[in-house]
Order: sequence, then C-alpha cells, then structure tokens
Amino acid sequence: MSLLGLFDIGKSAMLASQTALSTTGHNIANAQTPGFNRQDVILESATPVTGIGGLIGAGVTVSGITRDYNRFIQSQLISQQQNLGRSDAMNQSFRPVEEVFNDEQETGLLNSLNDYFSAWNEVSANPEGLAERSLLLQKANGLVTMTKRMEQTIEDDLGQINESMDDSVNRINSLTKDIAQLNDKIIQIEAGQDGEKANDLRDQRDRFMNELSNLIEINSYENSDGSITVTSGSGTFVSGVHAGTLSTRMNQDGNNDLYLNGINITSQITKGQLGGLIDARADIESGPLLGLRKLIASITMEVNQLHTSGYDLDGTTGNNFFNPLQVSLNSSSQGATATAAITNPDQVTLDEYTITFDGSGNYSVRTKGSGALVSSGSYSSGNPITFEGLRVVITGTVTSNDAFTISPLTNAIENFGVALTDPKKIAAASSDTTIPGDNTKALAIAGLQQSNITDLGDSTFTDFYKGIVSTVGTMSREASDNVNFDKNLLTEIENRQQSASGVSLDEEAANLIKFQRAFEAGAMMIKVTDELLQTVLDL
Amino acid sequence: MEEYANLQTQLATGKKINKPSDDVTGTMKAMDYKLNISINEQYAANITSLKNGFDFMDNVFSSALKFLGNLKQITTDGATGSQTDEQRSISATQAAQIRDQILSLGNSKFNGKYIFSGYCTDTNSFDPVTYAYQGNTGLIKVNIAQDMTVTSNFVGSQTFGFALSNPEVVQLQNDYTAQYTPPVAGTDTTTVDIMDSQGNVVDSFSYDNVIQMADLVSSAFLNNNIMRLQALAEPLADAANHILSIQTEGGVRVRAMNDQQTRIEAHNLSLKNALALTEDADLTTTIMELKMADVALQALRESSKIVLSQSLMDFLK
Repeated sequence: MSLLGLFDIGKSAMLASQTALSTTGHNIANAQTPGFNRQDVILESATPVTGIGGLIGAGVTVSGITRDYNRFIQSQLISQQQNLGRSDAMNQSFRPVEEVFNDEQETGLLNSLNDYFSAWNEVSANPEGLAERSLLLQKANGLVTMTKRMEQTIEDDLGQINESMDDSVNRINSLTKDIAQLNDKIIQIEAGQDGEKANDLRDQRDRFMNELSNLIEINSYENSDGSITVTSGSGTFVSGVHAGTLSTRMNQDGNNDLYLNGINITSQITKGQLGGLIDARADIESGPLLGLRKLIASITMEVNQLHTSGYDLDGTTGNNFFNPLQVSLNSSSQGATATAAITNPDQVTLDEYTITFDGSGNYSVRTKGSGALVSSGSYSSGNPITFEGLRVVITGTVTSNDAFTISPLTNAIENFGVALTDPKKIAAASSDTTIPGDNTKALAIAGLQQSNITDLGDSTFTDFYKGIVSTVGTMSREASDNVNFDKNLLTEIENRQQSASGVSLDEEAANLIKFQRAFEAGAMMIKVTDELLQTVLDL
Repeated sequence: MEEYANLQTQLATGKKINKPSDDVTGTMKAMDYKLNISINEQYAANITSLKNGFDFMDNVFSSALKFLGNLKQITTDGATGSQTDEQRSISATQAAQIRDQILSLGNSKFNGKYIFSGYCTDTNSFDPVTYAYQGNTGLIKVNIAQDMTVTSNFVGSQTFGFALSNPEVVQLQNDYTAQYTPPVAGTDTTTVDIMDSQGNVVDSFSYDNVIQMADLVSSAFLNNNIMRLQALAEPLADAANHILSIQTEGGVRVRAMNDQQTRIEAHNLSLKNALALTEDADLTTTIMELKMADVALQALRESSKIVLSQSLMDFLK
C-alpha cells in the first residue's frame, strides 16, 4: 500500500459520506411524501489489497441504496384499500336513499299514506259532502307527488352511481397507463442488475397501485424483470409495458356494465369502489326501489278493485280511482316483438316474469325473483300466452337466446296518478239505489289501511312499508359501520408501514450528525496524508 | 367529529332518531305508534261528529213526544163524545197543526242531510201530501274502532211508525171493538176495522205512521167520527212509547261512543308517551354528551400541539 493509497482511503470515506448525506437529505426532504419508503445506504468495506503484513483494507464503498420496503405490509395495504373502497362507495350510495325513507324529516311515505286513508274515513262519515270529497282528491294527489319524488330521488342516486363509475373508470385508465410507463422505466433501470435499484420509481408505482386498489378489485404480482402484472377478474390491466382499457357500457336495464378489453367483467368485481358501487346499485334496485314500486302497485290495484264496483254521486260505476296498472315489456329479441296487458286484475300477483325459449319451439314463463315456473307450452307466433292475470302476445321468430321481461311494477310509480278530477265521481256507495247516503264502499276502502294484503305477503300497507324502511336502515347502518371499521384497520396498517418504512426526523437528524462527522474524519485523513506526503517530499 | 355533528343534530331537532340507521328498531316502533295515533284520531273525529248528530236527534224526539202527548190529550177528550161542534172544530185544527209539526220533525235536516231517510239523504223522508215514507231503509254505519261501528241514523218509517207484531182487539164504548191487523210483509200499513157487537165491520181505516195518525184524528174530528177517535187512542200511546224507546236507544249508542272516546284518549296518551320515549332526545343528556365531546376534542388539540412540535431538529442548533 503506497502513501498515495491513503488518499484513496480518505477519498472513499468522503465520497461514501457524501452519498450517505445525500440519501439522508433525500429522506428528510420526502418525510411528508405519501407512500415514501425511507432509503438506506449500504456501506461495505472495499476489497482489501495485499500489502506489507498481509491484506490491508482499502476503505469503504457504497454497495447500494435500498428502500426499507416491507412487501407483506404493502400487500396488506392493497388488500385493505380494496375493502375500504368498497365500504366507502356503498356508504355514499346508501345515504341519499336513506334520506328518502326518512319519516322523521317529513319526507317518507307514512304521513301521506295515513292522510290518504284518513280522508277516506272522512268521506265515509259524510259521503254526501263535497268538501270531504275534495279533500280526499287533494290527499290522493299528495300521495302521488310524494311517491314520485321518492322514486325520482332513488333514480337520481342510481344515476349518480353510474356517473361515479364512469369517473372511476377514467381515473383507472389513467393510473394503469402510468403504471405501465413506470414498468417500462423500472425494467430499463434494473436490467442486468441484481435486486431492486429503482427505489423512487418503485415508490411512485406503489402509490399508483394503492390508488388503483381503492378503485377496483385487483390481483397483482411482480415479475422477475421488475415489472408488475395487474389483473382484475379474468382480464389483464397491466402486463409489462401494455395497459388494458376499462370501459362502461349501458346494459338492458339502464345500468353501466364494466368491460375490460371488451370482456364484460361486471359480475367479477366485488371489491374496490367499483365493486361497492355495483353491489350498492343491485341492493338498491332489488330492495327499496322494487319494494316501493310493489307497494304503490298494490295500493293502485286494491283501491281500484273496490272503487270500480262502487257508485258515485251521479250513479255511475266502473270508474278507476287511480290510473290503472300498465305492464312494461323488455325484449332482447331481434326477430320478434311483443305486447302485454293486464286482463284480469283479480289474479295479478305483482310479480315480475321472464319468458325464455328453448331450442325446440317451447316457451317457459318464470318469476324473476325465484325462477319458479309459472307457465309453459309450445310457442306459436301471434298466440296469446296468459298467466296470473296477464296476457302476452309475441309475434315473430324467436331463438333460444331471446328473452322477454314482463313487469307490472316497473312503471307503477311513473304511471301513478289520480284518475278522477271531479269529487262527485268518488264512489262511496255500493249501489245506485242507495246514493247519496250509502257509505259502505268508502268504509271498505278506508278499511284497506288495516287489511292484510295477499299480494304483499299478507301484511298491511304500512307493515310492508316498514319492511322497506327497515331494510334501508339496516343496509345504511351496516355500510357506515363497515366504513368505520375499514378506515380504522387501514389506519392501523398505515401506522405499521410508517414505523417500518417511514422517515423519522429524529433518526435522520442523528444520521446527519453521524455522516457529517464521518465526512470530517475522511477529510482529516486526507489532511494527515497530505502532511505525510509533504514530509516525504521535504526529505 | 362525527359524534359531535350527530349530537348537534340531535340538539337542533330535539330527536334521538334523525334517520332510520340511527336506530332501526326504534324507527319501526315510532312508525307503528304514529300509525295507531293517526287511526285513533280518525275514530275520535268520527265520534265527535256522530255525537253532534245524536244530540240533534234527541231534541227531535223530545219535541215529537211533547206533540204526541198533546195529541193524545186532544184525542182522549174528543173520544168521550161530549164535545160541541165548536170544540171539535178547534180540536181538528189543533190535530192538523200537530200533524204538520211532526211532519216537519220527520223531515229534519242536519248538516244538509235528511237524517231519517236512510240512504236517500237528499230527499224528504215523508211526502208532504200523502205523509207516506219515501226514504229507504239503509242503516249508515260509521267506524269508531277497528271492527266496531255505530249506526248513525234511525229510519223514519221505523221511528215515526209503529207496527204491531200480532193482531190485537180493543174494546171500545157501546160494545164496539176495534181490530188491528199488522202490516203485510213489505209494507208499513196497519189496518184497523171497527166492528159492532155482531161482528159487522162498520168502519175501516189504515195508517203507516204517526203523521198519518194525526191526520186521521183531525179528519175524525171534522167528521164527528167518535169511534175512530176511540180506536186511535191505543195506537197513539204505542207510537209514543216507541219513540221513547228509540230515544233511549240513541242514548245507549251515545254512551257506548263516550266509553270508546275515553278509551281512545287514554290509548293515544300512552302511544304519544311511548313515541316521545322512542324518538325524543333527552335534552339534558344530549347537552352533557356534547360538552364531553367538546372537552375531548379540546384535549386532543392541546396534546397534538405539544407532541407535534418536538423533534430532534429543535435541539441541533
């Protein structure tokens, strides 16, 4: 080892300290950067050289800069973000629906329903009175208005959900593009090197992965070249440097479906915000929205059934009180069209049906909810198919992929309205020889308030409504409890991550002093060597 | 902070439950209470208007009984046969007046409805010329509780008319008898035959109701038909008794309604209490909880201030 070699030792100390100080400075500067993993300098003693007396150490080298990265905690974070995204989305979606059914705040159906039947009671106590009749029409219109407002709010919320899905999809597409780009850079930087080197790029990619997992359910794994492959359902989001495209498309029911690279993955997404939105939408449609429509359809049918057999002050009969129920039809057939109508209100059960066809020319009618078979037979174009008070006529050619959805409920609220404008046309009497004092029909209709309704599962109108409110309240309570739980869990995992990989200013300050002194020591080494050399040169 | 916001909402609305998810079972109970309170109020309203109606009818019956009493007196006086022509003429006029007064009572209107016409509340109960009943026999029922109704009216033909169930024979003066035949099914007409001691029918008349009876009394005076006057004494007494029993029946119904009204008021009171317990916030407790949340928030802020400001950097000067 020559004298000049001493310079190298000192120089190596100073350079190493400089690198360490840069890294410490980098850590301090990024102390508040979200998702930043603190970086550590790995110091190794340099390869010793042979010299007088054996192997002599040759100083220090920086063998690498690593991040304090805990892979396990990171995967826990991603998993929890997906849960939180889902809970959050469901909580946000249920809030407005809960407000709709909130009788405490003067919205909600209970007051309007009670007022409506109270008004019938007034008419039964004074069937000749025009004042009571006018009040009844007023209260009926109030019921209609309130119901429509409730349905509108729920449908607005569903529209919001579709919009949120679109927004999330845009953000997801931008994120996956960014991740693919980062993959590209990381592959290039780490090519041919052993182990992770692109620390800051990896941090950035992890941040994007966190945000992505909050939005949608994903699986991911790292490849040997350092790139991440991200899949969701049966499709691939990111593979190497390529990013797939997520899109939405309106389906038959007016809802957004998710398509990844052209494949419908809607049913496979259960976590993340998108998963939460999809499930919330399904819950709202099959729960409160369907329940509300069924309730109104039932009120329409029961009141009309009694009213059409009653006599008004002019002695006429057969008038509906509310607009009669209409059947709505949804068809996915290219070669056939269909019409449907209610032919026998007494037999209508307020269920929804699907009509499908097998390959050998037979049709089968099933209820939508339970799938139970209601009617079947051989199909012939133009022949009416009757079941449970409904009559459907399908004309044209059908294939085994075709399906028709029949429902008396879909437009129950849209068509809901008071069919009478003249108070004298309210039928309070049961025959035309007993007007105007006969109040028996009015008594019967007022009595509906406390009757068990077969189509509603033998519960009263109010009990059925209570069931809907209970469902909504429970859904909302569960969602808000879940959000709190998931938030707390996420915070805990983030804390753990911080303690493992976060920057502690105290630690960095201590390191600053440490490496500063090391630098000074190295500089001192060079000064001493310089003096030694001077001594030799002065010989 | 969310807890804080919740407590503030409770204080502002005065209610513990501000949305269904606050307390699902409580919401269900509150809805039940509200429904029952509403239904009870319907019944209470019915009872109030029914009681007004029965009050009115009670007055009508009292007046009718008074007039009938006068009529009986006149008839009894005339039946002795000792009145002069002039007296008979006066009695005839008086009887006719009473007839018109009872007719007016029979055609009473309350709240714009003819109350003795059954379902035909827009037409006169009794024809002003023939004094025959022209309403129908419908009974108007009104709800005062679940499965409990009150018949709010009395049918004119069954109130101001009285029909025997079996034929009757009454001894008149001078060995004459009066035979009363009840109405044929489907009619209200009682026929009376006055027979001499040999059983020959010397006179026949018929009536449906007391108005026609009064009319018969009046014309009997005009025609000096003493036998008729004697024959009409018994039916008048029976009819008066009948109206009295109807009046009593009205009183019974009013008592039943009063009982029900008391029950409803008590029930509604307990329902309203239960509702308040379920949904109203206890102001004292809520204010206390709000203060506690406030203090907790303050403590958090203070401690954060102390913790966040310390760091090694402060010491490396």
